[in-house]
Amino acid sequence: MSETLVTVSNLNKTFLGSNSKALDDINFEVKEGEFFCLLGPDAAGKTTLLRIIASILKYDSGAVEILNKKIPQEISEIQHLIGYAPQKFGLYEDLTVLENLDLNADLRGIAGAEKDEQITKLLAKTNLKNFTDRLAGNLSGGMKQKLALACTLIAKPKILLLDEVSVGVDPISRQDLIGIVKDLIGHGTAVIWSTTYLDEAEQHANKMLLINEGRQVFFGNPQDFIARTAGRNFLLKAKNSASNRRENLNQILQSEGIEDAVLQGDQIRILNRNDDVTKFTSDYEITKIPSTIEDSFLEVLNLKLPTFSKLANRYDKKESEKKIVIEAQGLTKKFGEFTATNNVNFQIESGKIFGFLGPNGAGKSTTFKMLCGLLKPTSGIAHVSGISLLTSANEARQKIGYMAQKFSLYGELSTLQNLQFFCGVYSLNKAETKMAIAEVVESLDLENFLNTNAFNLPLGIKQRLALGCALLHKPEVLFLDEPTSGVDPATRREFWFHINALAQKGVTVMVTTHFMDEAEYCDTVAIIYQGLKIAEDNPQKLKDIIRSEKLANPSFQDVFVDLIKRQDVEKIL
Amino acid sequence: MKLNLSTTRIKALIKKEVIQIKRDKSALLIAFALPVFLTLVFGYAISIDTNKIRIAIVNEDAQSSSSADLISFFNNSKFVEVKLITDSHEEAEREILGQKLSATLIIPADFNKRLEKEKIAAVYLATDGSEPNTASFSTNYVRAIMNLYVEYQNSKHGVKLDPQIEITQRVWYNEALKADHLLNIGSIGFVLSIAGTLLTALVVARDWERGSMEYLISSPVTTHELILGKILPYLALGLGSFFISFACIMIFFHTPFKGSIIIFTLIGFFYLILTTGLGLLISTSAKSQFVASQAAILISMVPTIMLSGLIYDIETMPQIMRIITNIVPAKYLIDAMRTLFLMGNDWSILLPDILGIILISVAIYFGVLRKTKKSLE
Repeated sequence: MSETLVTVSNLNKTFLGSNSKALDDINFEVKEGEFFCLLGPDAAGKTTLLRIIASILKYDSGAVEILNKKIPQEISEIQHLIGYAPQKFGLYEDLTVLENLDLNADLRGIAGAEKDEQITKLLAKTNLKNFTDRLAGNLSGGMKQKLALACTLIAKPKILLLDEVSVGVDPISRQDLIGIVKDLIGHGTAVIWSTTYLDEAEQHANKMLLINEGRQVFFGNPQDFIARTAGRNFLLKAKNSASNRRENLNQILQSEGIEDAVLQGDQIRILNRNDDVTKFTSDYEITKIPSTIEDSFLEVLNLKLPTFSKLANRYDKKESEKKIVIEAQGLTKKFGEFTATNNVNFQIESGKIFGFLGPNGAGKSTTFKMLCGLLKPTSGIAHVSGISLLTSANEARQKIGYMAQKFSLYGELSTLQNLQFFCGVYSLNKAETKMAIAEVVESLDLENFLNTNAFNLPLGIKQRLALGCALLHKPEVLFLDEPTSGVDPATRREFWFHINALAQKGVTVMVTTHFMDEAEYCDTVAIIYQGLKIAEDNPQKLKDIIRSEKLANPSFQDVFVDLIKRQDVEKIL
Repeated sequence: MKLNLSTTRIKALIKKEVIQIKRDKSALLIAFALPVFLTLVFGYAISIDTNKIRIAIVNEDAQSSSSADLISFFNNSKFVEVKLITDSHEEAEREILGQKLSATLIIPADFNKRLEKEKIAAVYLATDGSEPNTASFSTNYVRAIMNLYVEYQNSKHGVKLDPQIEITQRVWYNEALKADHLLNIGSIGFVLSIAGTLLTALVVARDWERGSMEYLISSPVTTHELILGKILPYLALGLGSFFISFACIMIFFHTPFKGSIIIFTLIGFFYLILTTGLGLLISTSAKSQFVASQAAILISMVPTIMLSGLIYDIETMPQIMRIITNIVPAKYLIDAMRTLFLMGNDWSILLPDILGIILISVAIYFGVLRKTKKSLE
């Protein structure tokens, strides 16, 4: 029988000055060789729990034991057996890849031949061999996380605590990260993997712990958890192919007994309260599909889906006339010898959602910045509403809303002050400001947070506020740069609900994301890789490209990984 | 307390810090370029020629022609502007405040008598001690004019006046004014506060901000190792700044140095241990670079400028402020530095200064050890 490495019993923790428990009676154990997934919505207590196990945070009552040693009293005896990677991993950005590894080896007492051997092995595993002299700060997001993982692995830990290491990382790098970790599990290490990507738990976890608001919701096998919603998942395909898929989605969301509904290409995926979906048979072709961990997650947390977007309601009825709103022609950006964006072309019609996907470092952000007028293209044209953002920036910027990665809110300002500030930036007058803030606050339910500093807001609320700030001046065009990074499924649902509603009102949306299911919500998806656009079409057609007998029903993740691998092969040939 | 230090880990931490310092040139700039800049600013702030010195003359010996002679010398000077000639002390007193005059020259009632009988010309000069720069200018100018006068008396009238015309200088507010080197010697204290406190506070806060600290405390590194790993590199850097300011003072201003270099270095070293410790204390409490830098300026640099005797003389402060200056570390350093430069190894002054620095250091490190815990709370 495999050994129990971590035992947590009746664990309680309340932060000083807080009146609710951060962790409330948590009980679980982790055994040797387990891929243990720690799941939960934002602010559920995942990080707190990991920090307590890593013994850098004290707890109030209960017991934590690692390898039969009491934590934190006896931590020094086993500290070298624990590898902990915090969420904001502490890589030294001004040290090179090799210097970072070297430092970690020295700090953990790995020396001599063992050190060289470990470093060589880890460099090979993480594909960082060719980058040993690069500063960690200059690595792409995915490479950074791989280096962070390598640093934690250098002392061959028995227990690995990884706090959302896959957040903000592209699907290919995520696969690499998981591959490295799974290899360790084969050698007896236990991994506690906290994540907001539920598919990771579904595909890889032996055990999972789901917590919500500090309370334990589920501990056990992922299969048992998924089984909770089995038999109630369906794929609906509209019989009338001319009907608007977003309007259909809205109708479905408002009907009785629906627990969840999302777009999936040209179809709609639903979770019903029971297995009776006869009411849809007249309008849709219905296929029964297996349930996922996400279905059970949403149901078990009993999250209310929004049914009406007041945010979109601020906009007038859209014009029926179609026009090109965003346009890139031969867009190229070179930094010295390096071509970040290479002759990229696309057009986005009004009221469409355009997904811009690619691995970390593919040139997404560069392209984004050129469209927003923050970077000057080396050649080519970037137009928004027919105006170049570079030449008449102010005029055009008034028409766009921009939600940046990491949300660019002012942490020291309260919610209300942030809203007021952005009204000022977009030069709304006094009356407009008052009205815009009132509307945004009401439609995004921000009332209770008006006086909280943005820094202290839960991630989901931060994201809502950032969206609100970008929409105060009712822009016609919305640029969203990884708007849902690190955000849990429920919050993402709500976010996309608003985005869908805005698109129906004629707002044009360009979005980057690492969540492949979100690509399904887009009208058009472009995949960019090494500065080149390698594919552009609607999600359904992109899936058709890779559909085969073996893979009859590919996910968008399959599409992404496959297309990029094909590109790599082409390059070699 | 068992220390349980691992030299490998401390070395690794120091190595990391050294690489970071080399890559991020701003630390080197603060440590090496800033001392040069500051010493020059402090040094030249005192030597830059200002406009004419404005003075009042109180002539108590108004009947004699020799006093009138002397006054004409002042009237003709390029450097001095006589704003008032009076025989009333009260009037002069009023004017010196109202017109912001820099000094009062008093020609005593027995000026002529002593000149003739004792061959000595005695005048009194009262300068405003709260402005030491101007006070020393005034003194020098008056001395120069008096020398001209003596020379004139010697050659013109064949009267063999003894050259020792006495200027009895009475400094009103700042009686301890010793020399015009005070300020640029004191600049060492300022430099060490920046190099020690500000630099250390910034780099530790940076580690918190970037999350490196959370990772470090989850590793086998002990608290003492963490502290040493931060203190030692910046101590070395601070010593560099210390010698650079010392060299600048010697090279640019030819300030006399009467004490022992070894004692001087030792005191500088003690003081650096104190300031780096203070930086560490600030940043373990602040944890963000912005707050840490503000706190470092407020806690370390402002008292160094205002309350250490660097610019404003402590003796002239109200009693409550004088008491407060006892906890300003720079007070002890600047006092010790001035003693070493101008007076030599005077242990009656140096010992209390060293003791003061050590006591404050102990208090600071006590705080550092209590604050630096391997925990996030």
